[in-house]
Amino acid sequence: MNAARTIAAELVGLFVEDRLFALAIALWIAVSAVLASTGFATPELRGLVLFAGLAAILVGGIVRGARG
Amino acid sequence: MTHFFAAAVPAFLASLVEFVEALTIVLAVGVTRGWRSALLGALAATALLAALVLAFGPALGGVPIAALQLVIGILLLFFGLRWLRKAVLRYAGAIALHDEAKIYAKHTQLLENSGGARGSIDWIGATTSFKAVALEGLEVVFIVIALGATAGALVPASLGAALAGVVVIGAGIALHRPLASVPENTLKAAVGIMLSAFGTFWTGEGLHVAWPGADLILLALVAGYAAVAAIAFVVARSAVRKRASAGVAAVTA
Repeated sequence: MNAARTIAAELVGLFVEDRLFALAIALWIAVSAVLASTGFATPELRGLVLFAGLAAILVGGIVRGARG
Repeated sequence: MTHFFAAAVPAFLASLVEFVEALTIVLAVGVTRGWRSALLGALAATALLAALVLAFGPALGGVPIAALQLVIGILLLFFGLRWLRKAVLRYAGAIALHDEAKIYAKHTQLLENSGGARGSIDWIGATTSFKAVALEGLEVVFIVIALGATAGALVPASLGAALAGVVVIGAGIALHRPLASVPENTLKAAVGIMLSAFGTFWTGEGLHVAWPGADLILLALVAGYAAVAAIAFVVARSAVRKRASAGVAAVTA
């Protein structure tokens, strides 16, 4: 049981370290998916929106980490 | 050829980082508990990791490419952005740099204090070595499968990882000490940027984004994430300095 828990924790740890940071990424991908399915913007612009949101989340995550 | 390097280079760099970290612990085991147990644990873990790549890599070939790109793209985003965030925080001084010499000293002391070996194989040493290689290698397996499956380049990605293994093991045998001078944080930042770019590209493909320039947009995404990381570094370093001076002020007061 302990070994299974350790393996599960390691697997989750590959992708999630800071929960808020991971949640923000997941939310932005979900928002991008909804925007894509509703035909928001041109297909070219959707890529820019996806990148811009992720870039903002990265900066926010780093600044939050630096402030402690 | 472009696909070959696009898969092989990130796999090589990421594997270099992970193998250097695993080598530190295998060396500590070898020196304190004996090389037989250290190598036994490392070989068993390597076999397990190779089996994972062989099992999951080709199996993913049967999944529809659009679904595969979306799932792997999202996972790469989580993975790549996590690495990039951590590397920038280390550069900015918000968290300590990975110090192989310190980690080696800590593990050497722990293993020396773990009691004597029983039987011909020291199981404490073998287990420690196995865990180190398996856990560090898990990240390599993910990167190899992710880059290999989505770009149809499992062989180049595996070759990149294998080459990194040969380089690190060779250096370990030659030097007999942890590879403390490898610029791990710079490598992590570079891999984080590349994986974030790949993740964004494939997630976008899954969401039917029409990338201008098709695959060439990857170069722009790499440049974009590098620029964003540089800006975030400047802001983070300033925040760390402010926090440090506030701490000094509080102590002085």
